[in-house]
Amino acid sequence: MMTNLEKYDDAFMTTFQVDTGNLNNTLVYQAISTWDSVGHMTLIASLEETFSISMDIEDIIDFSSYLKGKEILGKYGVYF
Amino acid sequence: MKIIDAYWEKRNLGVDCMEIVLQEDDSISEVEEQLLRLKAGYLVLKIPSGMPKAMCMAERLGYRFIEGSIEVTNNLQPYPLPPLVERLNAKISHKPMSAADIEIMYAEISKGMFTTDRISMDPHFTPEQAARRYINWIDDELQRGSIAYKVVNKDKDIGFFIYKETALGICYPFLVGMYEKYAKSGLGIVAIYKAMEEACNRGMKQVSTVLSTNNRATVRIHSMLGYVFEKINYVYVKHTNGGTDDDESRKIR
Repeated sequence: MMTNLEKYDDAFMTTFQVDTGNLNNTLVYQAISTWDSVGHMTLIASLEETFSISMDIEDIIDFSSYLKGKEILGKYGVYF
Repeated sequence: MKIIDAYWEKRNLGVDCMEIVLQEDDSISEVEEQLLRLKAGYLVLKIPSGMPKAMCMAERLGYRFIEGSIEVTNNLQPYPLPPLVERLNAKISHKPMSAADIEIMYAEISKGMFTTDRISMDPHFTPEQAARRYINWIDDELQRGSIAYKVVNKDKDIGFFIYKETALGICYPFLVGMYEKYAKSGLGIVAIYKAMEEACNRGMKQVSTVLSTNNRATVRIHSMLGYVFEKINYVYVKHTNGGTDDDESRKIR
């Protein structure tokens, strides 16, 4: 069974076609070409499905980095 | 071949500009003769895709490739939005701008909102010139009857689009932008969809617009929203008044 972190990382890797080496504090919106508006929607939809949550629009707007995303998911009871 | 005196660029950019638009059945040798006769500080040459001889000719004459320009259309037929986009779209609204809203939009554009057009990416021009050109363009279009809309989340303005009707039943939302604070919100797709929604509300049959291949994000959005790619022009430019191609000086933004 995958941990929350593994599920979280998997969503990033699948959406943005990156590997684990890219999953760090420097991974922010637009830092890679695939994290644009379409990529953002795909990532959020994937995380919502994975963790069975529905995020508020303000949180979707604030979800600006790999690191920030972990903090935001904590509001929905997803801990790492 | 069409040759257009782009006189408005003198005001925008401070240079005389001619735009040359090739047709697929143009004779390359005749085009070359015409190009050699043109006198302007800034020449913009648009070559339809599938004309490699014209592209080689352009390079031989000192023109440089700067962008692909894609004409796209959407016939506004029911098209399934991704559920998340649909949910966000339902929470975000759009409203016609007041005069004060328009000033806010211009201030946002002046911060350097657009960075992927052929002026912004050309080291011969400055970011300020590129921004001023957009503002002048919008100003002209508003005077011709286009409408500026702000895109709103709750009580906060997050972006805008300019709505223009070009022909009976055809809408041309020629500019969509996100304000600085929301530039990385991922909501660009909603702003673009709002323009389509407005076109639907007004009974339009089609939305038509032009995308730059330098703006990969907007190409992806239009693809996701079901736009059909109709035509591609390769855009070349030539500066005849000297200047520099050095991009180093422009890396300050």
